[in-house]
Amino acid sequence: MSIPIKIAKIGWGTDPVELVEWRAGEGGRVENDSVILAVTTKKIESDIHAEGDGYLHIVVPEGLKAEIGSVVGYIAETEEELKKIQGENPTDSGVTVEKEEDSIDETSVPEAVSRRSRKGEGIRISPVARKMAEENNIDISSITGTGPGGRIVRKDIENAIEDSKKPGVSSNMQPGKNVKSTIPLRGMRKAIAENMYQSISSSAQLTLMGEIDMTEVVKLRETLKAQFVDSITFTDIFVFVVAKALKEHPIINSSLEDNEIKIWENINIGIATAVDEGLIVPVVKDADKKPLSLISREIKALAGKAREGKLDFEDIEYGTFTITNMGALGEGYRFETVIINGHECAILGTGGISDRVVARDGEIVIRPVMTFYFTYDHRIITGAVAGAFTETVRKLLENPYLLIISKEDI
Amino acid sequence: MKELMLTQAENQAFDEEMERDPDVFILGEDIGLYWGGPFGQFRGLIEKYGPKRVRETPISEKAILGGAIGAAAAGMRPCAAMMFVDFLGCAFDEMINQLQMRYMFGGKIKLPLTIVANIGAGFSTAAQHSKSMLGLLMGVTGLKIVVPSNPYDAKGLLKSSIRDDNPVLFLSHKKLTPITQQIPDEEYLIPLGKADVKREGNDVTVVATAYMVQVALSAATKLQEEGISVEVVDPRCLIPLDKETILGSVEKTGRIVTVSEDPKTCSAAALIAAMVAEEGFDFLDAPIKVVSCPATPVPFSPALESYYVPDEENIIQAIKEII
Repeated sequence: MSIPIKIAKIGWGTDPVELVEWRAGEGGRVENDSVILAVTTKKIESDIHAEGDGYLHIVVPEGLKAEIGSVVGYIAETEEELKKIQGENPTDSGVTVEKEEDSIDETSVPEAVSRRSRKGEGIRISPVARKMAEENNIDISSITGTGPGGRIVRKDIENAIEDSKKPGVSSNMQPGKNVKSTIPLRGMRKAIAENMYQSISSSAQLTLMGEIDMTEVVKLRETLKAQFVDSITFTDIFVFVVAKALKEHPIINSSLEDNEIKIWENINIGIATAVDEGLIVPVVKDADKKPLSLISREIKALAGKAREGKLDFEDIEYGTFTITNMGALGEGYRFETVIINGHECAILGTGGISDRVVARDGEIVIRPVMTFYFTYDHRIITGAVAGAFTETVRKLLENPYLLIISKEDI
Repeated sequence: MKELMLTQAENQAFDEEMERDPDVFILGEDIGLYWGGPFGQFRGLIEKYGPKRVRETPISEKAILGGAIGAAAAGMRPCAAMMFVDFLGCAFDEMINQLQMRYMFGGKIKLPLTIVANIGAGFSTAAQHSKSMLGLLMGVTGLKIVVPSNPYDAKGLLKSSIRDDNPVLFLSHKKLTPITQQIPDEEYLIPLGKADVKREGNDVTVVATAYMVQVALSAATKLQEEGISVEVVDPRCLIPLDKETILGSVEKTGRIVTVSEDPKTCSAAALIAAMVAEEGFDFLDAPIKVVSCPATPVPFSPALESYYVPDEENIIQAIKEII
């Protein structure tokens, strides 16, 4: 019996995943549990393991996308079986969607990506040019053919590949502006680009800014650091505090989906984390129910995995709110209009802490001050609600003693 | 080295093979004392080997081919001289029903038989002396088909044909007769089923057979002046066809024009084009062009005949349509 290799359903994601690399060639021998395929989606790379010993037959080659639940290959037990499977399921260049009955998700109607509806149907293009375009992910509908009768020929695709290596510059390159190097837009970079553009172009975002006196939090952190082996970071404290504030203002912990505002039961706080390839947002689940020490440990573990590129899908899923702490960039009094992550409705950015001259009780004093910037989706949140939420955050940070007792206790 | 015409090179091949193997003999019309074949390819052989091994036959193609098949089945190595390929019609039962003996008897006998004939138009000899019938004969099955394009190839291929244990149809184009080439004194063989790249190029592949190779080469020379680089591939054998060389060339150039001197429907050029469409589709950067003859009998009128046979201009035009 052959074993189909399926793209498993991953969390909320219903977008097709990109096949990054087959770890064995067509007909290659694979062993049970070994990694056979790397896929990428939503800023994350994941491995698919073999579910048995045998010979690999690739149906969907690298570089193409596959729907959730689709079969991208098979593991044949014997070489005879391999031949049979190869005959029955030829390696496709246009992604044959083979949906399994049990994995059809009601909410996700995948784009029909089959040979018949292949992009660019009806365009005059030579066979070799079409093949090259598919192999190199070139959109042929954007190419003007130079062959007889305007047919797209090999040379045109070669030129397009050459052009695609130049960032933001098409074939008519401007003189005096030469390309030094190019970075292909794929994997995490592509996901960031798509997510950020999707976010800002599909919601009504505006940013509320202010500053917070950090005197007490700085003291609190010093005290805690003296008591614990693991140092507690400002980010840990922000997650702890914001979780409490979100509990008090549940509307901030919501999403606009399917024409209704869904207020989430869980308070799952994502932490924007810079990595070599870009940016990733691991999530601390149920942050409102966890003590600070546990939050701190979890954040350290997630950050470590992020740096090593070993985050699993479950580590970045189900976020309901995001914090991005720019304090790591060092001191400096600055503001930024951060962009909301994914389908959330708000994000809190925190700046560096720097000594500022402020007025307190009619006196001019110097205090450690942190800037904050709270971007929210005006479709869901009004200015008054945003102000109330940020005021709660400010109060808790300027007076962390309030954390000892929660509102519910009274 | 000696400068020889195609017929002289073929004559050498017969001579060498008859000397080497006493089972080799030739039978046919007008191959003996008075003529030595219509183009002299058998000249001198009857004097050297006698009438038993150079057997003059009555005017009966059926008898020539039938006799050759019987002799081959009985262990001899005959060469049946059919004069013009057009005359094979008279022996078509032998062609399509008897030559297949080795296959039909499960390989129990060998059939080492060479049928030699001249093909091609260009001499105003009318339809019954001017055909090539390449595509038609490719459909016969059970025989190899050899189509040399120059004297050197003709000699090496003919010797291999005679030594082959299967029926081989060896077709010499009449218009190749005056072409001369340096032929080595020492013996050489050219294996059957191996194509030859007659000219290397990068922009387009022209697969041509027999005399059309010469036409394609001069078209390529003309196009070189215009900056178009043409690769000319000569399959040399239509069966077995060297697909690897043809497809390899198409993979390089991305374009192919096939040329043969027979009516386009089922022409050798059309059959090669079909093979490339099926097996080399992903290499193609332009439609395949087939250059062959109109679907008419070969005209007697010299003006019409020259229109009928593909020329340099036809090939150049086809190339320019896809470049």
